[in-house]
Amino acid sequence: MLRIRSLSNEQLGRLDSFVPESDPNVVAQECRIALALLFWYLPFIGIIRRSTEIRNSFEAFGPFLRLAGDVLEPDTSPNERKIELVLSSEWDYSPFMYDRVQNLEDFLFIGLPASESGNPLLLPLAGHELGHAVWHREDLRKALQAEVQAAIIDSIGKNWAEYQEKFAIKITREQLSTDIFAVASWRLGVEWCLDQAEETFCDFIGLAIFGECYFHAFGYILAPGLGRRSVRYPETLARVQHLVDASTQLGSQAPNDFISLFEKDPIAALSPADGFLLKMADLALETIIPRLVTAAKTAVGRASISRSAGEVLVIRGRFDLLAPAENCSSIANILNAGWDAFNDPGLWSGYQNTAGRKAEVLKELILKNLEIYEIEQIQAQ
Amino acid sequence: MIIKSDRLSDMLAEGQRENTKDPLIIVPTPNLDALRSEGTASIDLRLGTWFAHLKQTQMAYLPLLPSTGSATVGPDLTSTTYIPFGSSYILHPQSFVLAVTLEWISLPNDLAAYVIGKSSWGRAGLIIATAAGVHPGYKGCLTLELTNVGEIPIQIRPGVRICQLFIHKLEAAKTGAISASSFSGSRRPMLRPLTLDAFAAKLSSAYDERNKMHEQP
Repeated sequence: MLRIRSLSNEQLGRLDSFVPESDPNVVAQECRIALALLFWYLPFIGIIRRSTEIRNSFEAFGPFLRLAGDVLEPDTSPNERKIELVLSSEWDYSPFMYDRVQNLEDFLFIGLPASESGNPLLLPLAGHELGHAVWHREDLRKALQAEVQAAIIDSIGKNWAEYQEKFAIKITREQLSTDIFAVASWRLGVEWCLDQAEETFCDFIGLAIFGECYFHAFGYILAPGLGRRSVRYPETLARVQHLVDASTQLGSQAPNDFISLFEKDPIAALSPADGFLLKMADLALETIIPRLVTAAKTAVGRASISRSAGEVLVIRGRFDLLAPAENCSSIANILNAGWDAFNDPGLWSGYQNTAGRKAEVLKELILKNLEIYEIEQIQAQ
Repeated sequence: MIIKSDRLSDMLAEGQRENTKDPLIIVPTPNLDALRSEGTASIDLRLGTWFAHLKQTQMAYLPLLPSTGSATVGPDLTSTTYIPFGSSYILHPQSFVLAVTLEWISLPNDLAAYVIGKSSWGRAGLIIATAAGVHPGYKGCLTLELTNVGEIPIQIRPGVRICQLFIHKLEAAKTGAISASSFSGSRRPMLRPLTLDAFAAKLSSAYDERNKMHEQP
């Protein structure tokens, strides 16, 4: 906020310096710059403002900042890391992330849905948002560009008749990558595939960090689907299938019948040509999935995040006693134990007055456990 | 019978073991070695991160009782504040704030406790916990009522030792289900509406009909 205020004050100073004799064109230009500044920073001021609302899971901030540092700056000691985190909530029922904001380059803005901002069980979704920061820092879009382009051209070649019907460009298959009109015809498909690849990669990052609880949080917020097909996201069933297929490699196991929670997206309302391109983007995505899994595994592997089924059981045992656990080695283990308790219909059946309050009490307990974890980390420094 | 700190240390250590049924748990666990050697009659508890104070209101009084119409004390009457580690809360003279212990307490069915202020704070004017009883089976952070009865503001900070817990053994403790009044499961301080028992409800409504008749135009 101080940095935004400082930038605003600079601009305000310029506006204040004008006198009646000032050149009206210069005044108008400075006013336009001031408006642009307001337009650009207002949403971030809103995000920062909402990050101070007490509905947020404040106890999650410290542990998540450590996690973000482990993933994004694994080779830097915790005290020397530069990353700044704003963990906030948003009115839209959708998590989001802003990274590398102009003049706020060291800040990572992560927002969870306002209606669930006090629910620590959804924190694994912030792992997906953290994935976007990894994607940007490792410049994976650029790294995958050529591979995706080749995959799109290959897919068009395999669907040549349909391509010719939809685009009516008089070229040969060999000219697909050289003819200027041909390149213009499929370029959008490459962009869509890369957008889908980013989302898929972020899913893998979330899964690699948090393990099984990522499935639960993902299903909680997304099932049965987005209700529409977005060209920038994989088709929901395909996305879920990718997650399930990657789970073993990423050290996790999908819950039974997880895919059955989801439905196929409605067909996107696109022109025939764009519909064809989307199909090509979907096909191209399939070819790079193994590379995305490997990239996610490598990125999270560098962070050395502990996940232990044994520790999850110990924490779960403490939750059964209505108490937080100590000496946890990661927030992933705490959240996995939390989801395990949440999914247990017999949780706290021995306590008379938990009926109707189980979810509320469990959230309190998990947040307290995150605070205990943070206290231990501070004490260990 | 008040349980001495060396015995409490043993009980807390026992509670850390897996498969212990209905243990005494205090998290973060106090330094057990220090507790064992201190030989005191209580355990110090620390100040937590959440505070709640009553807002200035145009209401004539605080509607805590069911007979006052809107008998719920909702969050709209209190203002909740989170003070992160490293920051302070300033309690001004004659101010009252609800706070919580940093520790999450889990009392077994055969133990009860009393929360008492620490003399070092009391001498500075900080009065702590007037509703001090903790029932057997209680789970959660303890709500503390803090008042500055002194004449200068007092700075308090999450993590500092703020009160002490005297733990008592219950005689002839019943086993089985835990009573409804003993459970909290909360990490934040809350203002709760009071409930009238049958005795008080009867007294409260004794003249209702008569009063209504008098209110008729």
